[in-house]
Amino acid sequence: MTKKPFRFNQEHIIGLVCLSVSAIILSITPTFPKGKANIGLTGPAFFPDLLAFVFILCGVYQFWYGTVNAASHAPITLDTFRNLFKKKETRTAYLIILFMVGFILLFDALGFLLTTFLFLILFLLRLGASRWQTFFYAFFFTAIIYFLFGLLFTISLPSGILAYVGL
Amino acid sequence: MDAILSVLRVEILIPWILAMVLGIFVGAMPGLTATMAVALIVPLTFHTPPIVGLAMILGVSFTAIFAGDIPATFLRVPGTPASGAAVLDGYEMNKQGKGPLAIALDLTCSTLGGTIGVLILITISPILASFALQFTHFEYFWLALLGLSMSAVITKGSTMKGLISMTGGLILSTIGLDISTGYPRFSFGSTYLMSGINFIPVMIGLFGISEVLRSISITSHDQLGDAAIVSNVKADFRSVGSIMGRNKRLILQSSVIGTLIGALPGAGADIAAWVAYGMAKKTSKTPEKFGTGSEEGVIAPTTANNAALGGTWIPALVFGIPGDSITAIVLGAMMMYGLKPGPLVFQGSRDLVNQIFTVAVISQFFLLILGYLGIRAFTWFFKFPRNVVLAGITIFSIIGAYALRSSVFDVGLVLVFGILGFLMERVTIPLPPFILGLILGPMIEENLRIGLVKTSGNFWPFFNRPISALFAILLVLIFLYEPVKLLIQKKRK
Repeated sequence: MTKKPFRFNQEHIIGLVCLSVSAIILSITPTFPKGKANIGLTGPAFFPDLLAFVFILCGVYQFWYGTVNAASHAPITLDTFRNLFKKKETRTAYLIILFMVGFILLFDALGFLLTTFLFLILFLLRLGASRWQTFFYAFFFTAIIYFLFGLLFTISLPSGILAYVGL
Repeated sequence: MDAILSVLRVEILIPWILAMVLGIFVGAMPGLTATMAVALIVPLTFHTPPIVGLAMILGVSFTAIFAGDIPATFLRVPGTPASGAAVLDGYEMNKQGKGPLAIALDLTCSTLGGTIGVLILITISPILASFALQFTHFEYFWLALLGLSMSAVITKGSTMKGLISMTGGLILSTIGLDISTGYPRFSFGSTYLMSGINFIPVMIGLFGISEVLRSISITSHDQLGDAAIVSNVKADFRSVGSIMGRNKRLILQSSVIGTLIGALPGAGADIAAWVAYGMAKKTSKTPEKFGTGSEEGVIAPTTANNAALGGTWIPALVFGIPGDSITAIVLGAMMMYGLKPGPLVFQGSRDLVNQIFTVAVISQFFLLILGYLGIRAFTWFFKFPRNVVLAGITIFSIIGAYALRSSVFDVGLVLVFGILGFLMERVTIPLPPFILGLILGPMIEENLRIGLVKTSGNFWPFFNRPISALFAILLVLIFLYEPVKLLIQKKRK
């Protein structure tokens, strides 16, 4: 009988994530204080520790499951990572994530109006909207949100650099 | 009568009806779920009185669930997962030129199912609430765990992945100040983390942004600007009365099934629709017609999915345990208003509970009118390019999360959990148990630890009280059900 080669797959990754999260929890909780009347069961570490042990069991099971059922899962190789950037649609999803990171970083500095308008323009252009559609909907959504949240619900939206021009 | 008059005021009616219109729009868009419709509405309710916000949430959920049946009938594309079962016979009827009749039947049954579900809710909830008053920390611990575990087991895919999702949500709920000692757990000195992870940005990210990322990553760029235009979409109500008269028993059966399944924590409208469809086929005199354009095949799932919405409110209101992801959001919204869902809400906030019931019943009448207009407007809806809809959802999600606490940190949470939700779906880990774990985590921990403090660390009282013992046994049975079933199937083979 020939021994089947080990095929690393997504089930192994899930298992490893569970084990890593558990390890992080169990390395932090010993610093937590003890519970009432020194009963560990009632202290702040008890519940996270309990969950970490459940996660360890889940992780071990997933690792075992991934190994036993390796044939039914696509193996993860270096090509898997290369393929992550091959499709245009996937690259667009990564770009949208980057646009959102930019939005978060610039929101306070540039202010709500500018950041939202710029974000929508980049978003719509990347998703293939025509120029007039992009500008029309970017303006439309920015105005609607400003009206709903800023004016109607009086939520304080940052003015950013537009504060210098009195907006 | 007072409750009816108190909700029929302009300042309530306008946002309520507008929310229901939004529900039609989101529900009819394939890929966008009723949960997402509710998630989009929640940020708008932060600054409204409780009854206005709750009316908007209730209304949007009813219309979104129905609207999902419109593209299911005319395009064979379910607008929401709850419309999956409605595709089978609705689309077949449409192919035979009976689409207008199918959608009219669908709308009437949705309204009727929703009304029966709400009436069951109104009847059962106060009785259950007085029973729930006898519960102590031990029973609440098991009940919350039971609800959570059921969500992990019932959701599609492997039970282990449901358990992983549930535990992940529970772990996330431990971040922040400890409920009894005030000790900051896993906050790493951050004041944002010290106040805990708010479930609303997490939910917006998991259900909203992850869906946007998924849509973008699977839709070809050439199709993103496209719109699915359908012509000649209308409803034909002429023979609906006689068909419904012939199927009174089926309507009642599907409504009861829908409500009961909705009341099970974790099982929402989609499961209710499938079970009602299966049961209708089993009890039908003409089961061979199912899947070929059977009227019964349209009546059963469309009645059950709206009836399930009333059912999901039973555990939410009575025990403070969400029946599905929509009521999970509702619970969060109620807490935001300073209301604590549970048996005491029937005493402390009796007027508000009556108003919620009234809104739920009146929403059914609005559903009939708005649903009809929604069918007419369906062609117009689908002229909106997909990329514009995705842009709108993304920016509303982001600003909605910001509006919660005027915090960019919450927008960051939306992004992080959007990516996490996208990855979880890629590896088939269900999302609902995660969000339920985050919401129910504090309740489970609090009851477990207070129970243990009372007993000085002794676990026995968690098992030796009759109701606690019953819940514990049920919990074991829930987890044993699938492995035992598999074992029996293997042995038979």
